[in-house]
Amino acid sequence: MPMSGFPVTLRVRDLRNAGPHAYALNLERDAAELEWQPGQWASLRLPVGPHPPLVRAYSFAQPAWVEGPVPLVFDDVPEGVGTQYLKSLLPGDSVEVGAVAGKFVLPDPLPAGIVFLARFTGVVPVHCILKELERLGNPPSVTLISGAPTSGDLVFHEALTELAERASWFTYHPVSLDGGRDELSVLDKIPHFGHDVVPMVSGVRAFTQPVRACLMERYGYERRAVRVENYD
Amino acid sequence: MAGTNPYIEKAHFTPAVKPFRVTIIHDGEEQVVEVRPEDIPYGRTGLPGSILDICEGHHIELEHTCGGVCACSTCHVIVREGGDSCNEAGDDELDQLEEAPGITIQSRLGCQCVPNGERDIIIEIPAWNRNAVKETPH
Repeated sequence: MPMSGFPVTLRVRDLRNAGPHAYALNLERDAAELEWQPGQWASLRLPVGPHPPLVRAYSFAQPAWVEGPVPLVFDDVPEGVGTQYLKSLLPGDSVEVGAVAGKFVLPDPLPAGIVFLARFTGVVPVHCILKELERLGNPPSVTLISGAPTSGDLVFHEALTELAERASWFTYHPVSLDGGRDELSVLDKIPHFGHDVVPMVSGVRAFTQPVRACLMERYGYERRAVRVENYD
Repeated sequence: MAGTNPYIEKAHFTPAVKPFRVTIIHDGEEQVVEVRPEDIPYGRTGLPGSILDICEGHHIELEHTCGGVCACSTCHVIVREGGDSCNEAGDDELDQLEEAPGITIQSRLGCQCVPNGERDIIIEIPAWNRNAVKETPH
């Protein structure tokens, strides 16, 4: 019982490295209208796995208003059936989008400040949201603490560094977690903030759960005041 | 990441260790499937041995837009009988369930609800939940 508009089939424009263990899949958007809010994800229906279609969700890396292809970024899961299929795609291949969804979007109304804490490709929806904030003008104070297994795995590091240099409202703290550093060390970068600041946490559950719990314990946040996007 | 972090909430579920039956009511029709512990997991979607995993393994369509990672509510099911043999819903699951239309006290997310096989269970896939995510304005 498909609703009008979905599923839509998009063609692959190209597949690029987004780091040593991450890829950017760029899809042509001229075949179908596709709208999304910054921070949302696309639900792809992939013709692989023991019970196809294999359904997997991937975050949009750019807002819908940015011209050009539809960019989805995913990390390279060596045993991931979906990942390995996406990596095999060639320009012109088709990809079926079953839905667009997700609640990891900008609070409305905007708060006085936002602190993003992201791990590895968890920074992808944050990158998308930052683009939107930059477009809006007069954005709130925003801090991004982005952790990755190695410094080379900091997705969008160059773009985020450039944004921090030109935008006074934005502070960027990249954190390399190599050497067995505890992933909770990202919390050491959190500036002092009051409860008019909204924390938004994104990444795998082994990251988001302890970070959320720590924010609740250290800063007294209610559980739901800490917005979370889980990747697994 | 080390698994000793005290803030990490463990997933609380016990996959079945003996065979059991799941009756699935869908669009007014009943389908009964036999679950054998040795077949679990059927795939890599949802928690191992979850209702979603079982449905996938028996080619029964249960919407799961997020891929079964508890990031949406499209795999909403109602556990009509045998709910006491399933793991308890966690906070993340309850958060998502609040978004599901037609929620009841027996509602669960198929991707997170894992029967332990102590008894047969009956679940219903609500018709109104089909493709619900696609009705959400973007």
